[in-house]
Amino acid sequence: MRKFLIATIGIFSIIGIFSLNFSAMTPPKNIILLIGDGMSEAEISATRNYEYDGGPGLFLDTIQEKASAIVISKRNDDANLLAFVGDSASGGTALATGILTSVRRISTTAQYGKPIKTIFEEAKEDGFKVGLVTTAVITDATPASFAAHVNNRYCMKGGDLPCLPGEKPIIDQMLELDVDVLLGGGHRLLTAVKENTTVEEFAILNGYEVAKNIQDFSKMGQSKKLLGVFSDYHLPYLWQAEDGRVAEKVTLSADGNVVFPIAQQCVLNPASKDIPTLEMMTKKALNNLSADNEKGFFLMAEGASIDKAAHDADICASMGAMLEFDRTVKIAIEYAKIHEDTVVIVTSDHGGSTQNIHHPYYENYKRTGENIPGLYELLTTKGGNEMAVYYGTNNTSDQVHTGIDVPIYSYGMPDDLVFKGTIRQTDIKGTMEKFLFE
Amino acid sequence: MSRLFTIIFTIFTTLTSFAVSAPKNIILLIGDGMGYAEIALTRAYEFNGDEGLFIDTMKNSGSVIVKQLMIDDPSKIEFTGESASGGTTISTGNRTSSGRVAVRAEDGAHYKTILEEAQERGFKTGLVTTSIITDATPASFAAHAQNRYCFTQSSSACNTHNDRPIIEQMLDQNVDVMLGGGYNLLAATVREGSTVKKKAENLGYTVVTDRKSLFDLNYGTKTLGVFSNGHMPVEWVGPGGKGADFVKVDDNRVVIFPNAAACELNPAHKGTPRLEEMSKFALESLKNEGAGFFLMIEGASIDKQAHIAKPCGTIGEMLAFDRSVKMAVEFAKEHGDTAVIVTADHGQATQVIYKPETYDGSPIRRDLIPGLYQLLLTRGGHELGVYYGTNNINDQAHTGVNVPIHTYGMDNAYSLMGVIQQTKIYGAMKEFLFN
Repeated sequence: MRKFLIATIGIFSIIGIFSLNFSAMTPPKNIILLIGDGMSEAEISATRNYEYDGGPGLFLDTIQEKASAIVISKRNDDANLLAFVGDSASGGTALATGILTSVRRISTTAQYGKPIKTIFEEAKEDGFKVGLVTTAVITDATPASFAAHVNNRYCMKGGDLPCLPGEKPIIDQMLELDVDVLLGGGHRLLTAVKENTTVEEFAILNGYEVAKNIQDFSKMGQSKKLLGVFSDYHLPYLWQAEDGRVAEKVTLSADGNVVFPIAQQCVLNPASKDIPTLEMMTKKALNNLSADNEKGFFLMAEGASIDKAAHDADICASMGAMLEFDRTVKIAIEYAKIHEDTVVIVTSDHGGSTQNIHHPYYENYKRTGENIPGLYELLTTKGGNEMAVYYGTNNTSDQVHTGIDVPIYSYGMPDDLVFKGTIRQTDIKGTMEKFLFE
Repeated sequence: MSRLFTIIFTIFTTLTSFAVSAPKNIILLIGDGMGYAEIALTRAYEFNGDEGLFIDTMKNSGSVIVKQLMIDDPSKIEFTGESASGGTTISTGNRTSSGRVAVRAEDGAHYKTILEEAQERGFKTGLVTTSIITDATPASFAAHAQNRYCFTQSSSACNTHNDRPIIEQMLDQNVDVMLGGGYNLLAATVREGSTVKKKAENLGYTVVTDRKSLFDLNYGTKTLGVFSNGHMPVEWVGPGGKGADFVKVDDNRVVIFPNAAACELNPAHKGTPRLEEMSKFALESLKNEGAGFFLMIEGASIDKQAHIAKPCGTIGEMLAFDRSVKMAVEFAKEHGDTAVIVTADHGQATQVIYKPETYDGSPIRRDLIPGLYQLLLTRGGHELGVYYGTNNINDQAHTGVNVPIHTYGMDNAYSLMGVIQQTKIYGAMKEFLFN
């Protein structure tokens, strides 16, 4: 009996040692999820046309594994009904939880508001490091969907009106989840009240290094958790049109014909100087998350202004953000190439309303205002061609989202998990789980 | 003596090489103006946004970059597409300017098309469309013209560049099966003095003008089938026959959203053959034990209905196209050595939106939804908002967006995955068919 016991203990300890050794030998598994907010094929095409005259040049175009994701959402007045358009909150929730919800909801169920567990939380619980990087305010819908649960995406910080009674705002939830890296915009979050102190104080007390400008940012290291916010709210756009204007209604001559605007080029937005770029923040995050990490990490990095600028009918700003996002994809894939078991997934949360339409000289008929009822901008591309850009969904305020498939690219995925053909946006989470946890 | 031997040997080897190499077929399906938005619209209406379309099950996919050359200055690029330039790019691998059919933008020099090359090598060929048979997409494969509207001798469009009428070129090209719209073409005079119909019959075509006559034909008959005056009627129309329209406003100029309603069958379509029926006839007729065949099938009115802001028309045609894709893939599965390529020539203006909202809950004014709008009630009972904002008085515009490409049965499928230039499709087809 005793002998048997010893033998049993012996076997168990051998198994124990083996499994210990085994886990130590397994390289860390990493997911880098890159979300181009509002980046559908139209936004990609426009950017490719402007920067590369429709030829090769975008890093995204070199990724062979490409599929389409179907984007839909639920209605909040009746969760049995579908809406065929999404926003960043419903799209972020679909990506983070695999569950359809309604617009403006952050990882809570449509109509009923029950919290839904995210892959980010699962990864954190399982010992992975986790990070969120964005060019929007760090509490914006996309990053929030991974690390918080609220009924209204605008419940960002203590005292925000959309917070329901007793509902914890997004920044509080992000810090309580102990997200290892948080980089984006949002000085205004730091001074918000959190329990008996401020967000900034709470973060410092809980072991975060807090950065507010590019000098702080460059000093940020690998030893601590990071909370970096580099503007009051969203980060400034990188590009603007040289005349500083956005797409506008066309003007008419005395005889009622359209007078087309003079073609513009895109130039740097001076306000973006000395603000860390998405690439810089992503590099910093990769550096921090991979340090002394044998388990692996989950990083979500978002190009937020592709969408925000499209809402503003500001094509230069949207394309500047798109190119910055494209460069970030390159950084992520280069990281994956030299780090085993790292997958890069690039997708979007929903479509925007950007359209390339015909050049003014196309078919030589005179046009009246009714031929071009929306907002129009003419640009000279890098190659010296003229490109017409159009936003037709709203003439007084925000352009709307559109219900269109969005692209999904992957790199480094095991063969059986590669996204192919047409998939549902809600399928992505399950695939990420299989990679990370199995 | 040795010469005779060589000749016999050559004949023998030629015969055996024909006998051993199985026929190769290409079925190219072009959804005209079928961008991702038109697909998403159809999927939302018919399948609650689930991946219920047959094309959704195709795993070898990519995106195609669409652009064309400027009409006035072909050294410049125009960042949208059109059916003639898009058709030319697919059929010849060259970009041209809007309205040009398989000719160079600068001087109208002819580009040889994949259909012409296939025919020279002994392949059978076919063109099937729901538009008039001489429309830009089919024409791009079997004719050359600087003005796509030069359909017959009497078309004034023939005068601008002294083009030969497209219908005459298509007949002279001896395409084995041509099915589509356009019985109005038949009475047109041809250069030889007779009519299009006579010319076709002299060339050995059987000419049919109704669905029943098509069904009565034996497979393999050299056929010119034209089943409508001009383009063929579409399968679906909007609620009460209506398309998208301006939203109405009340006395306070606040938008009143229309009630959601379902698409209806188009009574005018009854009796005309469906796209998949024409495709079936073409597939069975072209099937051969020799070199194989090249068949182009076009869902033409996905685009035409979007131009006139009729989403139900687009959806019905998109579904007919999708059924034809399914049939083509099933054919390929059964017969092997058959490549199915599904793509579009250019994007369209369709946008799926919902009801616009204001952040502060203030009333919705007309300027928040300035274009044409329709609220559809989907098959699953959901509200589906469709919007066309590129033109308020005539045709909606094409857009310069990437279009999808899906393939089945290609050993070189990888060359059409990821993001590709539209010019690359031609080379991939040639590689599949001739190597």
